[in-house]
Amino acid sequence: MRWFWLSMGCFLAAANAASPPEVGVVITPLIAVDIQPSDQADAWESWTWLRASAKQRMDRGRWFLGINADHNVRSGQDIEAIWRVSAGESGWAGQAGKTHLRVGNLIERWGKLDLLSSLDVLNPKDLRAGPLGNIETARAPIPMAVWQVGTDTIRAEFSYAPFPEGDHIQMVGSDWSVVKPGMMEGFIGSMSKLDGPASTLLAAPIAQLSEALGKLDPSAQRAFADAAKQMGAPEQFGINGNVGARFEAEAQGVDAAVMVANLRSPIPITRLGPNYRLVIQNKRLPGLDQLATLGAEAPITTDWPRSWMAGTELSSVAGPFGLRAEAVWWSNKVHAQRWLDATAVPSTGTGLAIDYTQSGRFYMAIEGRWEHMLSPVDGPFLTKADVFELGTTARISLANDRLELLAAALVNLSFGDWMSRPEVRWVATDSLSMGLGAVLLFSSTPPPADLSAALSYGGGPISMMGDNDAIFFNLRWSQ
Amino acid sequence: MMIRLLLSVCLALTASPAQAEDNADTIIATAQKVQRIESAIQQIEMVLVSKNGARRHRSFEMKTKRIDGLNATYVRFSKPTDVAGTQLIVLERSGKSDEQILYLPALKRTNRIAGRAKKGAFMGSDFSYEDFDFSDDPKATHTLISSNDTTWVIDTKPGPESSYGRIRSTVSKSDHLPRQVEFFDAKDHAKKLLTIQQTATQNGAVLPTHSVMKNLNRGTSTELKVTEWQLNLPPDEIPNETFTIGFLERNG
Repeated sequence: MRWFWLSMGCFLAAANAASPPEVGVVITPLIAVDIQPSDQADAWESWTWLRASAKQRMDRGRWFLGINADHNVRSGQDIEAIWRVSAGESGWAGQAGKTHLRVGNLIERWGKLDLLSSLDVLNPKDLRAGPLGNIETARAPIPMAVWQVGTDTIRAEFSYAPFPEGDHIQMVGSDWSVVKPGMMEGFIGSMSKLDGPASTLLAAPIAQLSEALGKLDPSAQRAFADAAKQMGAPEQFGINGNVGARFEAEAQGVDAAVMVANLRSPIPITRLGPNYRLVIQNKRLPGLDQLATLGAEAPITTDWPRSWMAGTELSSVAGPFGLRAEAVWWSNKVHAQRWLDATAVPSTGTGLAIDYTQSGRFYMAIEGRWEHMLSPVDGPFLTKADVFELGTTARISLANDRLELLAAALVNLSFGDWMSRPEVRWVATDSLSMGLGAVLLFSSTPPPADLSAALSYGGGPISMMGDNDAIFFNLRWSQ
Repeated sequence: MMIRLLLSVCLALTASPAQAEDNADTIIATAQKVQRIESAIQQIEMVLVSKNGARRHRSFEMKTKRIDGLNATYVRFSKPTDVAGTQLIVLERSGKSDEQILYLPALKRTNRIAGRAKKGAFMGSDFSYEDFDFSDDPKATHTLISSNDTTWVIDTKPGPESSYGRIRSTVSKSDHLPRQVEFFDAKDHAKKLLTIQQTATQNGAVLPTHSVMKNLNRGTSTELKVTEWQLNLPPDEIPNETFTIGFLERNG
């Protein structure tokens, strides 16, 4: 029904069209093949992203309608295919008296950094494809209203997202998830062989559970994982929504903004029950007298805390360089801890970027970020009390813009690991281009081999994916 | 410079006569004066022609307005799909180099174009961002090279910040509109050639509707065709906020 009313609204609005509608579609298929196949990684995977959009300007505003879809095929221990369709950016933007209003399924951008932004908080991130994804698919639109008031140079903007979503992350079963393909099944399979007072009693049921899991369709496994991720999420009454205010000013050669928001965390505090954790940690089944306690305990609890945040951003130029900066403070930022635990503590983030362009055919940007926990947590997982990162992107255009050399790199100085994504792209026509590239990961700590090692992993996020080096081929067709 | 005026909206009053002004500075000053308009909206088709003749098409809307005596330009691309939504504003700054801000829809943010980047190609074309610079560089000097019954030929030596070493303009005496502009690099090698192939008249003003810029080194060219235009609009038609970052972000 939502689609129907949205379409009807657009149709009626078209009666006052000030220009013909712009209609477009972009399809981006990609196939990636692992360079170093392993049991815990898919041998190959493909992604196909589709973006269809239409927009039209009216006398006092514009409507826009978008559909996003993606198809992911993964081939490893089994072959999975996942199809997902969602509303793209859709809604209406225009004048409301002397103010401006945007309503609909929106992407609203805060922050000035691209690779390492800490301020880009209004939309959930879509990280399912890991480094195979692109910047256009990295943000997911959500229902939102944005009201803006002010002058040409000073503005105040208030946003309200009634139904916030968590980041789109696959926790289980993908090359880019914490629990890699086969880890869960492997652990449950091994449980029937664990020592412990209850081993005689539990061996047979655990073996049955393992067998049942083995027979479970990948889609059913994903459904369980998704359900677990949604546990504890507040009801969507609207009063649990995200609210934000941004005040921005622009002057000759500089623009700056400060913002404040009250947000639901994009990642939950997920905790494994203490007794379940002991089983995994010690690789030992509980005593018979502990079984009742184990049975009464929720295996996993999930909580979605709220946090205040305040931030500032700035962009300017200095000689031949563009300068961008941002800083953010969180009252209650969620940090993961080892053994499937998490806690929320006050934190800060600071980022700086410098970019350089020459002749329109060379572009390079370097970004740096420092994230700091104001109250360090015990056993941080994939993070540290202080994390320093560097990111860079570069593009060289050759042969009359027919050939592009692209590169992106991310260095985590705190963990000593880094990744790069070089790509050669041939622009055949305005509508069609194709690229050949690689995702190269350099680990300081070997990636985990099993569930226990994954949940207690002490390395960084790049190292965790360290065995996923791949080469990829992609197409981009637009019309 | 002539090219800058041409790309902004390039208008000349047909009523302006060829006067006895065989002085380059006077000709340029008159040309700038008669070509100046208060506001315009143009729909433009840009065709990029490669060395082997392959053609790539771009469509964009250009809005220009004089605000407090200074030029402001807004450009928004609508085709092809891959660049649709890309926007650019160019703001003339008194006594300073122009300010250029680009909005890239994929990034959902604005990017300030700094220093040498202004000399780069505009959206892959043979025009550079610098060509959209409206400033009449006070350091530029003009020399009248020749004159006949219909045209003046003027050499302009731009200021040190320009990527051009010399610009030769052939200016029509009838309307003060340049019909041909040759761009030379610092070593005085011919770099680019602009020709105006078609014009249209509206409300006593002349608008170049078909221009071609050739890159003589690369063998490429860019055609600009103005398909629709509105000139000297009421002030409210193009509000000043069109030339702000806030506008770019709202329309991304």
